[in-house]
Amino acid sequence: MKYALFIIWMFGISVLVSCKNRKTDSTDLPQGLTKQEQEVYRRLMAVHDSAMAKMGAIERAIQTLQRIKSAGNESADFKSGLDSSILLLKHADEGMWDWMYHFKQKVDWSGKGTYLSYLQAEERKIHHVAALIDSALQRASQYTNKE
Amino acid sequence: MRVLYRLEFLILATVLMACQSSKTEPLPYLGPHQQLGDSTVYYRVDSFAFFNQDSQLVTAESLRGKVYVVDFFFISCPTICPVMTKHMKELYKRYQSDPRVVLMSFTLDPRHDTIPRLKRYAQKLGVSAPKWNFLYGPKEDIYSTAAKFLISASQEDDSDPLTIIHSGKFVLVDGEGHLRSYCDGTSKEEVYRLAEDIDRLLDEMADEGYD
Repeated sequence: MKYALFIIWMFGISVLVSCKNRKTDSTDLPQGLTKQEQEVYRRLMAVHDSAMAKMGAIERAIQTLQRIKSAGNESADFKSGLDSSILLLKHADEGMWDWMYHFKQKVDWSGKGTYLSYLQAEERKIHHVAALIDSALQRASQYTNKE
Repeated sequence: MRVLYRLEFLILATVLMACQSSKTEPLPYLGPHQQLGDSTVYYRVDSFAFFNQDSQLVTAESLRGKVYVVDFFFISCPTICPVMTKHMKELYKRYQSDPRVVLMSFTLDPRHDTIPRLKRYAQKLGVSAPKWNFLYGPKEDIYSTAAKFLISASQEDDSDPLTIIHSGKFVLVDGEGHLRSYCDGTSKEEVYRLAEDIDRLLDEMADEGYD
């Protein structure tokens, strides 16, 4: 009986330790963020990750639209619609790369400063980039769905 | 007693031979391959040309006879790339004095990761070419090269290319451009396993007469 209790106790301890490790094992988080800053950071990274997952679709849509355009037989209006759709896709693609470039560059991540207002502003920006990606893909879908 | 010693010796010899044979067992050839009569033609990556951080041209031909590890990254990557780079640096340290091993990190963001920026990045990491090449080229070329390495290595041809490219994979390539192993570059354990595969490949190449 004592032995069984010991096993249960050890199991409980190991679960607690592993949960604690999971919470603190945030290697992707910059050092020195407050709890609130960590929350915003995690939230904006979730938006980033979900938008980043659509970057392959952006690349594919650009290629498809360029292929349709080079096939030739469409009207001038149709071609100009294709052009603006390609432009939107490229703009959305560059928006993501630019956001990532500036996000790391603008701030000293050594943990000496306060980051809340910066992270909140970046959260708004990444939402904007994600919306650009969605609308560019939706606009392109009127051509890609016909393929 | 003597019989017992003989038996012990036999067991020891068998264990040693088993270890030896698993060590020298060749790594598989990844990607599609063709059967032409009696011989098999294995998939290989035999053409690419990119500039490294020293503005030196690195080509598939210039890597002939070398074992190399490939990954795809970008400096501003906020998520997986820092971990991958940390693990790649472990490989750099392990094979620093072995000229047969080369590391190749292709940037997915050539618009921002220019050659001077890649150079500064390498200097900050304390690494240098030709052991570790940070490679720069037109985006289209990088993506098509990534597809050659990664999609074939993962055998996930139907998957989204960027998802695979940005999956954090390390791919091991032999002296002939054949893909021989790959791992998740974000996992320390998997990278250790890849290092064992590099050693096996080096043994294999030594047996085949490569210097």
